Amino acid sequence: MKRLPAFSHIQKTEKTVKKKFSPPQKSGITLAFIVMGLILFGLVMLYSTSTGTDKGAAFLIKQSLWILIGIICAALINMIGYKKILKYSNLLIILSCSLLVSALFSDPINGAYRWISLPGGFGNIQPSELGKMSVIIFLANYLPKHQRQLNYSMKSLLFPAAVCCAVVSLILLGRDLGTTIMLCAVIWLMVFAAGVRLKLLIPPLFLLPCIPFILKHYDKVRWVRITSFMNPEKFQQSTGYQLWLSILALGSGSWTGLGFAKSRMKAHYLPESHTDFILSIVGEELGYIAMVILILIYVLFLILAVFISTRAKDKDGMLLGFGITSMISMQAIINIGVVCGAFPTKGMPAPFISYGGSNMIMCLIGVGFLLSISNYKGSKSKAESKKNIAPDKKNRTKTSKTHV
Amino acid sequence: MKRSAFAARMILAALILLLFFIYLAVHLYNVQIRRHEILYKKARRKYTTVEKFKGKRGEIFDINGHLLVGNEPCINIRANPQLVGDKDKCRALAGYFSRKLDASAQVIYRRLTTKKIHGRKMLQVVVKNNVPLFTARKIKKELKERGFKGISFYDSTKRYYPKNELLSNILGFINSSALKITPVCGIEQAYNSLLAPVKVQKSFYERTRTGIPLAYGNKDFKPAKPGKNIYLTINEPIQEIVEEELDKLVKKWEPKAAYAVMVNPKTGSIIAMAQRPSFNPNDRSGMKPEHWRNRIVADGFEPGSMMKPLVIVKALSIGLVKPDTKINCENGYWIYGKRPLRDTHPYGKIKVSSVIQKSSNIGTAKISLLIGKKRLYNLLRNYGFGQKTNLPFKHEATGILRSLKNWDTLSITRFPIGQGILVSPLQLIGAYTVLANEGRRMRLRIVDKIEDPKTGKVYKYPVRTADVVIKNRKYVKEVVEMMKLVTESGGTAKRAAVPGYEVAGKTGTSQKWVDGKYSHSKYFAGFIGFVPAEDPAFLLLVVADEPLKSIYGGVVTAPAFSAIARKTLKYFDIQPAEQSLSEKR
Repeated sequence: MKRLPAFSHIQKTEKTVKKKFSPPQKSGITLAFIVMGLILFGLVMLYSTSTGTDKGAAFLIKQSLWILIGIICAALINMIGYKKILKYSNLLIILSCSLLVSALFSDPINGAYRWISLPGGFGNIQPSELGKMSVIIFLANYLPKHQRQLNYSMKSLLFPAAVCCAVVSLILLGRDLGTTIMLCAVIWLMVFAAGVRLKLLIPPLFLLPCIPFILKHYDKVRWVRITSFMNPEKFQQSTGYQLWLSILALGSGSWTGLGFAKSRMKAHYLPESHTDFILSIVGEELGYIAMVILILIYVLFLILAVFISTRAKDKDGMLLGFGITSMISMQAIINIGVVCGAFPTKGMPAPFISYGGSNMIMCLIGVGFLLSISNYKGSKSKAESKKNIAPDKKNRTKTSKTHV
Repeated sequence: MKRSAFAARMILAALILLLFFIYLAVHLYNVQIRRHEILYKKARRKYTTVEKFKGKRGEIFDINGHLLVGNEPCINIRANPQLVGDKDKCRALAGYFSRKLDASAQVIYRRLTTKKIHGRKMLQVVVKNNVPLFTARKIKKELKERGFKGISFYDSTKRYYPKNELLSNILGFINSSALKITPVCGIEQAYNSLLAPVKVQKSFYERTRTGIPLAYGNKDFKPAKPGKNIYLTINEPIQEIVEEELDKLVKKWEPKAAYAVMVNPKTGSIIAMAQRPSFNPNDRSGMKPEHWRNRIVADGFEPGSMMKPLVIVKALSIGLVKPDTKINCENGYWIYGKRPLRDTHPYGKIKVSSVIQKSSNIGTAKISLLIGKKRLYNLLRNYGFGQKTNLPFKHEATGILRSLKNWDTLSITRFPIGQGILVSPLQLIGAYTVLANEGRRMRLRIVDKIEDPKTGKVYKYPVRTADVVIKNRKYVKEVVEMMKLVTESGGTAKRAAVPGYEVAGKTGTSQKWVDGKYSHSKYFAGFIGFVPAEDPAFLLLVVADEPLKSIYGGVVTAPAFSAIARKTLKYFDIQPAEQSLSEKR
């Protein structure tokens, strides 16, 4: 009886709010739908790739659990608001750094130190995922505050550079070159978006050609492995095996594919066909049309996310949103590029689709941030009386629950 | 910096990312659409297995379904020279295999170290074929323990002959290599087209990497079609009896060769067929062509006296003589056509029945003169001499029966006593079915039926009368009565008698034709007969080629006939004739 008036109050406000959805909010809702669609598609494809294997059902249950955790995280972030979380950016950096260090001392898996195994055999977590996110959060917190100094004093750049270097080098030490390169690109894009002068930004780009040069002369094994993507058929017996099969799978697809759940390459031919190479199975089963639609959906995600970021109420939000957007989009680009042989083969999951807990949760957390940015009313509402905020907050959580 | 500039930079960055997406779409188009044909073809090759499902070669059984020739599962051991390792490893492996498999270490070593031939990588070489399952399993385990790599084991089958020497000359054998099977002789060769697995087209199916066919994959299974099983008319236990007795004969008289054929005169089915020398088809090392030549089919000999009853029955049927007609045997020396004809023992005037009993050459020649050239020739043709028997064997001898225009004056007196005419054992026994089967010559059968093991369909070879030689069975019975005398006291082959049974038979001894003249040291000794005389269960011919210690059919082959007949009658469970029992008492 006591709750009844309050309840009617919420209903009323909901109605009124519904009419007053701001454009970023609307795009936030659309974004949530897109993500849900991608996740569902991923689950369906996971089912397809793992049918016939004894682990099929286990994969599906585990992945669903990760998705659930991710959605709860996203809802929590949306509820709390990104602004509060940004304050703890330094803490996040320290946390992720310590996790990355501890990963270095754990048992290597496939020769890489990028996982920490959870007790009870529940799986492994990848601290580099948290590292990526914390660097983005850190930069989104740091750069706008020191924006004025950035272009005048090198000192103000040194601190973020040091932090970024620490995280990046820790990830690199864990033998995760793909994530390292992607994170560098994200950092560069964020610094670029934050308005740092191009004079400072262009020179590092000239360093890029040095990387292959160094590799070619000092680490020939890795150089051969990296360049084998250009002619996977030649290296199909060794380093190009996975890529060559992936290309064969995609090439089999043509326009409409071999038919859902009728992939041949998933029958123990293509390794990691349910994780990093799930898209080659998509291409084989559903064809080029499905792949283009998938690319268009990622593009739509990019557009909506960028729109949300540009319409954020403050620069922190803008930069955070942009960082997350570029991270997820770049992941998609690298994954598709790796699968079809446009880029060197690097382990990179397809966001929202590939099987894997850490990445799925981190991407959903990113979506949570984006939704939070789209819902954020700015500091004006904060300055207003606390009474007004309370229903607002409740309202926000409601929307996030329904749409995320 | 203004908000708008901030946003502009973000949008610019987003556009760069967008360009990447477009690039990927184009790249995917190249892979998925433009290269589709080639890639799909290569992909299919990756997961499609093209295979010919080869069926098993048909098996050979006796009339009761006892296995005579079968397929034994075995293992072919192959090696991949690319995976075996360096020379030291090859040497170790070759040594190991030579110890285990009775193979040359050098040969295996050479094969293992042949990594390339004509610039192409060698991916498989033969280590040893047809390794028994047990040995192969042991080797597999030991190789794993010792850490050798690149050795693979393939299931295969090997032809094997469970009874070793038994019937080996008739069954024949095959030479098999990895690529093809070459039948060399016998039934294996004659019925190769039936025994060989039916050729099927290549089947293909899509499979997982571990080789399991995909349920949803494209497939076209063409199941293996095995060869047909052949059931011979041979009766294995009797064959064993015949071979055993033949061995005894060979041991005692040491002939160059010996053979025996047993036929059911009512159907023409060959019940047993054995020869010495023979071979063991399971171990053919040291085997010579003279061992595996099928003498019964391919050799000719002069039948000698065994010819006489065949001619005399005709004289009886035309009415030229009666069993008690007296023939003057000229006391063993008679000149006809300026050439003398002799008998072994001199006789005066004797009955026709005695002519057979005593095997008088002069008496037979005189009866033959009564028959006349043309009728005699036609008779011999009707008996099937000079013609093939239509048994399936390759290289069958037709014998020699000169056509009428090539006969000289002596021919009419010499052919009926089995000189100057060459017959194969099969022809002779075929001709004798006339006497054992009331005037009807039966076509010989070796194959009883052919069975398709997959469908269970059976084709039965029919029993056929080749010719009705003597129309009235009365005359045949008269000759049979005369032949009974042969094994009784005063006959030439008392040793062929079977206690309790009436045997109708005839001995035959003929000089061999060596270097253009009849030899006085080399003879054929033979005996042919059927038991019981009135209702024959079988017709048996035993021939010894160049026996050493005696030359007479009545001495050399008659005891073997008797022994075989006794055991066979027991096997067939034929009761002794009461009449003869009472006579013996």
